[in-house]
Amino acid sequence: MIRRLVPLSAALALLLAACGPGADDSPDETTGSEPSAAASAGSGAPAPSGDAGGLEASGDIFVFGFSYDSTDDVVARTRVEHTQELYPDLAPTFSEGGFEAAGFLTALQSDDPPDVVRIGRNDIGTYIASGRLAPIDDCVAQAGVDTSIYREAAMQQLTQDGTLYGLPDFFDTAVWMAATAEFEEDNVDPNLDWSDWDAIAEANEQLLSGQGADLEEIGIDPKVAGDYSFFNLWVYANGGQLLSDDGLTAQLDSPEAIEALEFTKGIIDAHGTVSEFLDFRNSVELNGDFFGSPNQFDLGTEAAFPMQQWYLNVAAENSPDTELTVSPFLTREGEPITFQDGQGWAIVEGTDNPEGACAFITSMVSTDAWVAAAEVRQAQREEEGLPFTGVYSGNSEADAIIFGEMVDLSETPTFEAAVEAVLEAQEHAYAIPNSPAAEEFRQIVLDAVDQALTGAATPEEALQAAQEEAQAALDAAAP
Amino acid sequence: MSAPTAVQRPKQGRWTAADRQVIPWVLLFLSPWIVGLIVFTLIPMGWSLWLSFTDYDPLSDVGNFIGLQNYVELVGDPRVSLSLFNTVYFTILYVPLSMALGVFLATMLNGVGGRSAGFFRTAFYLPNLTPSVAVGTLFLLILNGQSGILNQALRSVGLSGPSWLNDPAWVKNGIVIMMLWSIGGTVIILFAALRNVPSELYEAARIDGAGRWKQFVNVTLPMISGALFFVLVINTISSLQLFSEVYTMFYGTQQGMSAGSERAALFYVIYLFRNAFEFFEMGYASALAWALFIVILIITLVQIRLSKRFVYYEGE
Repeated sequence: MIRRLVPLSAALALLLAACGPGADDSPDETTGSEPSAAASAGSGAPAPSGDAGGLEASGDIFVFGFSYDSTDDVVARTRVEHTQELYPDLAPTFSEGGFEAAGFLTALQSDDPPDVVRIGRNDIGTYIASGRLAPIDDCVAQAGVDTSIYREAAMQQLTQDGTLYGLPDFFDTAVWMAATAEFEEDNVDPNLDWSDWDAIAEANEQLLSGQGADLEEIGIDPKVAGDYSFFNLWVYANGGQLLSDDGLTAQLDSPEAIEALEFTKGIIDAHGTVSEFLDFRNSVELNGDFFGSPNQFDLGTEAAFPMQQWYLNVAAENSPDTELTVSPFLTREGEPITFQDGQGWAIVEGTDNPEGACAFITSMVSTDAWVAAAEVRQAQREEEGLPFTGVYSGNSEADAIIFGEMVDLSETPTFEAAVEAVLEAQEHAYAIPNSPAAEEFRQIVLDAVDQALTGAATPEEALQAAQEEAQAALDAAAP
Repeated sequence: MSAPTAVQRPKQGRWTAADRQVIPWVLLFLSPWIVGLIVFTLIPMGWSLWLSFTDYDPLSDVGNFIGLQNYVELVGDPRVSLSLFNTVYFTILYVPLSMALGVFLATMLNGVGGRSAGFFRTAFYLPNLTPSVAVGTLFLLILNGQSGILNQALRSVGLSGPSWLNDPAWVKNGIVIMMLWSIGGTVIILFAALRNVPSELYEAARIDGAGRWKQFVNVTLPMISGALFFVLVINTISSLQLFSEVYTMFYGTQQGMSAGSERAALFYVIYLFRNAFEFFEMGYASALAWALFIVILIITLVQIRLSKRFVYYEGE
């Protein structure tokens, strides 16, 4: 019996090999999920919309890369409900999950492709270059949207050759977060001069505790292991750029990039090997739960790291009593600098409901929608007895209302100062240039950083090798 | 006395009238499988073969015929050789270990009688029912170099464990350990084979003075060699297609949690997947799939060829 099974099983397995990872092998995160109807979908009959722009929107739209039914995120839910109040005859359904490329690709090939998609702004260049996203200049004109209210760096990422392809959703920026108590304990000023790399290295030595397998406290985590955006930030702070402004030329082997990698590698190496550093950092038992409690601040196991501002909400929720000193990331000349990232709302080319798609995306990022969402979040925080640290929308008009009229952190000076630092950083945000091979380029950079951190190559060798590979990828993907 | 009547037997390979009568019914009952095979396997295979000769970009839905260019490119692609090395390294380590451990555990199971037998069989198979994504996530905790239970156990006996997740030299070994956790399928197949070994053979061996080891080598192994060969083929193929657990551990949302995995954990099918669905080079990914098909075909043919020397089938 077994003998008979062998050739049969082998033949079947061989047949499947040619198809690569089939449905059974795909990781859960790459499988698309069925869209679900929004709670209060309208009838779809045309009706006056009531929108400021006077759009008349109705019918079904399928939104990819966003959750409604399956999320308890009030900022997401409130904005959808606001949109549905505005357009009662518009019936959006959602993919109920964040954007992921394989799922989107599959959805595009289906009989009912998405009408609207929410994509990370750092990745959107690839989709614009492919022609899968529709220009929205006419849409915003018809809706009467004043695009100048959206933050410039975000809009840069959504614009290609002068044509607008999306509207920004959130505006995340990076700042230094320092555990004040850890700094004071080691006699280091938490208001460190973050432009002085020698001072950072010195502070790191003073702040860290233990080493190698006996590491007990991380001094400063530069966040370059596996994080493209932060390595990018260090290079920017050093006066360089990984990618040219047009997104077509790799600049990985520039002296600024090499120096940034050498410096950040040195910061990590002071703790032991990168393996030991990451084993400690990723250990919930030793370093706490980054998204929960007790976390690294509660345990006193990490003194400082640069991080996106949304982590302040996490800290406010899980460690409201932690004293944090938040400072802008600085160039070596002392100027505040930060990357910015977030999402972008775009309309899929060929949608059969362009009016509905336009109404949806313009409403989701309208000032009214953001303010309504912030009000609900604020009420929720008050109910929980936690500080409300705001919502960073990417819409400067909404931000002015949220941070000017709603956010009151006078009782929590730590978070008040932190929010001020974030708002300052936002004014100095740059956009990572759009690239037709965004993901491949990112992987090549991460690989080079890995090679250097693990000692498989010097930073210079790693980045020089990556330069060739990255340029080849960009050339191949260039339109 | 009449001459004996010659019995008319159909020539081998020819169908009788009775056969012809049942053929439509056979096809009818087989049709769900046949349709499935055509729709979900043969057509996609043909389509992927065609794509492998194009530069098809699924995002823009544009592709041009480029002949053998993808195949030429993959020969010179350093990441193909790297991912192939990682995959073969894993296979060479995992397949023999899974078989040895499988035989050991199946032998132990075979020795368990009474009411506890069912419990142990279930317990050994249970890891196979755990979703691969959950297995990957679980082993991120188990293999943590500082606080993972594996290194804690090693420390308790005075050994210092490596950084299984972050040291490129140990990443693949850690993955082997993870995959060995779920060898329940192998164990069950070998256990079934062990149960079919006639007890008279052991009795005869004992009478001939064979000890337990000699009985195992001279009776058990030959008698289960068919099952061992089956496991060898299946485990080799699945090793060469390793994807879900490793992708969960080192790629996707976990990216950035380790250093060095970008290369050390780059398995062939992961590279294939990334080309298809992250870099949108579907033509190249199809060529990678066909190259893997050929590699698996060659390995399997070699195994089948060698099996004639080493595999004993009862009744032959």
